Amino acid sequence: MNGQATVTILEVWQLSKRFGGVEALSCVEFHVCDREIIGLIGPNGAGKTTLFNIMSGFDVPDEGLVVFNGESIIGLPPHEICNKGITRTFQMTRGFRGLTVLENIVVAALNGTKNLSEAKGRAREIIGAVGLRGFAEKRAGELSTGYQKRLELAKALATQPRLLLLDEVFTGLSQTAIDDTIRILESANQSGTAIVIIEHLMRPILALATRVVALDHGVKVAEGTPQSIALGAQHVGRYP
Amino acid sequence: MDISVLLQATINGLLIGGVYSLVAVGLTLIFGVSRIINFAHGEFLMLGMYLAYYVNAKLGLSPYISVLICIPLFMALGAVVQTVLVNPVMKGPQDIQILLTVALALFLQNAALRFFYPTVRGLSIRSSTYSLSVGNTLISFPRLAASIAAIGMILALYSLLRYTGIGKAIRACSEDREGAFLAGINVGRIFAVAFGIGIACAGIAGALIAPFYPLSPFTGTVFTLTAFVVVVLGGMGDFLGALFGGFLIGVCESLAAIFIPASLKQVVSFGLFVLILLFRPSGLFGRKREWLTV
Amino acid sequence: MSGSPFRLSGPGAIGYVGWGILVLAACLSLVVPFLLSPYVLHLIILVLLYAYLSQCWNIVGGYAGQLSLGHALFFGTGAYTSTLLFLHYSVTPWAGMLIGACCAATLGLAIGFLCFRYGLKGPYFALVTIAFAEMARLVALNVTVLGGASGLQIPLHEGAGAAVFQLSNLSAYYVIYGMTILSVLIVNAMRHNSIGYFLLAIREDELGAEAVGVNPRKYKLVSLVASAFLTALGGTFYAQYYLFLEPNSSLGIGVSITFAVNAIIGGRGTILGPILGSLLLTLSGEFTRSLVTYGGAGVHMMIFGAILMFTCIFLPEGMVPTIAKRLNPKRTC
Repeated sequence: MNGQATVTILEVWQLSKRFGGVEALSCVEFHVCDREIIGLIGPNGAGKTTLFNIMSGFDVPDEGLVVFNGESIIGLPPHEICNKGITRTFQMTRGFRGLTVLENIVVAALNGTKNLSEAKGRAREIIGAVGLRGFAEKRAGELSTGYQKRLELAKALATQPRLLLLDEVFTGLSQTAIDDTIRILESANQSGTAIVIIEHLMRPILALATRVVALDHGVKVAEGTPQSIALGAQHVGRYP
Repeated sequence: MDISVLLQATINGLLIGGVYSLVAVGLTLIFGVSRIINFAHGEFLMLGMYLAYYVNAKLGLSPYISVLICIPLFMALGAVVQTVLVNPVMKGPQDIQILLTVALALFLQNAALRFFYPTVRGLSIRSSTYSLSVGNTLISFPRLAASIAAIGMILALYSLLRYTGIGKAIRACSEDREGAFLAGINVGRIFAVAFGIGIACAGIAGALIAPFYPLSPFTGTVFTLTAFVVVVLGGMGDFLGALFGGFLIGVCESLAAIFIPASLKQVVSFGLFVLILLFRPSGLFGRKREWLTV
Repeated sequence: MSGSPFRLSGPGAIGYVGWGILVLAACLSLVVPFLLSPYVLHLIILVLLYAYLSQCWNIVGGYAGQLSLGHALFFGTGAYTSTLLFLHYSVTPWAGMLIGACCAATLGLAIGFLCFRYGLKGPYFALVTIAFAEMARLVALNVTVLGGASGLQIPLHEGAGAAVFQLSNLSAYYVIYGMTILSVLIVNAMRHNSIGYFLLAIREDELGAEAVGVNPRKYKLVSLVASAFLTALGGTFYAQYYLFLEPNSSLGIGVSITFAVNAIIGGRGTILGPILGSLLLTLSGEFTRSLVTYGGAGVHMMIFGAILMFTCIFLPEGMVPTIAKRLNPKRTC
């Protein structure tokens, strides 16, 4: 799966961010290779979402660099970063409630192509791939939480990202839904998308990630294979 | 430029500024507590003016007595309006909340038009023409009384918010609705009370300016817009900001009227308003919180 | 059939049947005017005018979801520009219309750029639009060249261009009829284009839209400029039809509110909404105005305010989406 990918597509260097007196991120260094799947773990408040916000343009760091495909993306607005190939999802799903599921995904698909019918076609494909077939004409606001997360994922995939940042996309899902999502992500990864997953549940991380980065209080405290991190975390008693 | 002209303008500005502050404090209270931007605020001021006018015309009582009537009357009115009209839309989109208060403003203004007719009236009482002479400047008595009474009301309200139980409940609701609810505070009632106090401020201000300000159904709109400018200037939800902002705007308008035609002085306020919203939305005094800051 | 009233493809809330009726009504409307009395024709012209203006507002207020309560600025700019050009330089209203619209579009560009660049949303954007419109009204009230409080009177003019608006209600009818059709076609084209998707996404969740690659500032600006341009065209029509222009009835806050409310009560973000809203409110307004004698003006606006409050509380989406939901009950999927 990950054997041949050694090209670094994203590099985060000495990233620091302060909110008031609190150091949300402190000299964090981090990189993502082409087609890698990385797990990003840590207790609440560790700075994971802040890192995502900075990587996707929703926030700017106080210090440090973020380089994607050879260019610095600090200061670029989120939509431009999305155009360039990094898409993120939100913990609290941000669907377009008044639009149908299909329309939601078409909006995202238009990130990849200017042609409306092409975008519609791609949206229909994704609806099938993500398992939302039958919901296409349903208003996004009427979906249950589980399906809303699926829609969030579908929209992210529709933007044709090179790097996908998923923020707790597994939280609150049933076991079957988790399995489905793991399969979807594997398939997306094989099509060429690198993924960084923020997650509290270890199962998806163990199943998908080839490398895990652990943050705590804004500092990178560990990095390694999922197995070694899981062992270490259990040992320290951070995770059940 | 004669210094006494500037001085007179400044004093007039400070005097009307006190009233602006009172109106703005009411508006900022409502916003700070329930995040509602009350576009109908000025209409309640207009209603207060009409109350004072008719109480004087029919019962011969001074408008300053009407002020006392205003307090319970407008508080009750505000509570009713909040509970019946505003509450249903509080959980919905903000645009609808705005439209509701705009609709209320339209309704009230045109109700006044229907029942009081468009004639511009003036309320004249014995003290309307009194004035004090201080040096080269003339201080009109009704304006002075209005300003002093307004400041008194503001101070009373400040004490209420700062030191009483209900004041603390109000502040708790504005800072953290959920938390206040969980702490056992009847949030719905607090919203009603806050709304009532807010528009009572407007109504009282109306009664206070009745002796010297021309009265018509359209008087309210001007004050709504001015109150917005003051609230934005002082920081939305910022009590003291509204207090100081009122005086600041009063003086600015008054000074501007020396150099440009009087009816254009509002353009200056609006220009300031736009600039602040664009470049310093947390207000001139910049206390960044969006809830009621006392 | 349709599930969402904002459906971006196909017939939308009103369905194929609805469109059929609309087209039929449109065809009939082409011939019917010859049979009507001048007063009824005047009423229809008014309904169409406000339907047109509210539809223009709908572009930025309904589809992009930005509550503008200052559209009178664009309306008045169009009206005053074309009128002044007509009065002082004998420029035909057709050209004046376009020039006025360009001026309004420029204002829209400036205001939109400032507001959206600095992230003004929701009530703050509404407040700024109110402020700009009020500033314009105050300027018009005080500047003699613009006629001041007594306004501008437009004389009946036999020249080529002006004649169409003024000579008879009939030709005015066809002009506004054409403009209304134009606005419907423009909004419909927008719906079937990617910009329609972007605007509705921005309206529903601006941050979410930005997260999937949509530039909210750019599209909000485009919608505001387009809306300003088209609204100003309506302003010129208004000036030429009434032959009189004064600040309160062309730049006042009541004017802005009317455009917004017609669309909102009818249904923001739908094509039929502004038309239905205008039909209901303009006609009821004229009706109450003619019924009651002295206090008439107050009563009609009281009713207006009451209807609006009712809509906000019980039908916040407006009439068209509510009716559409009734006609197409939710299917279980």
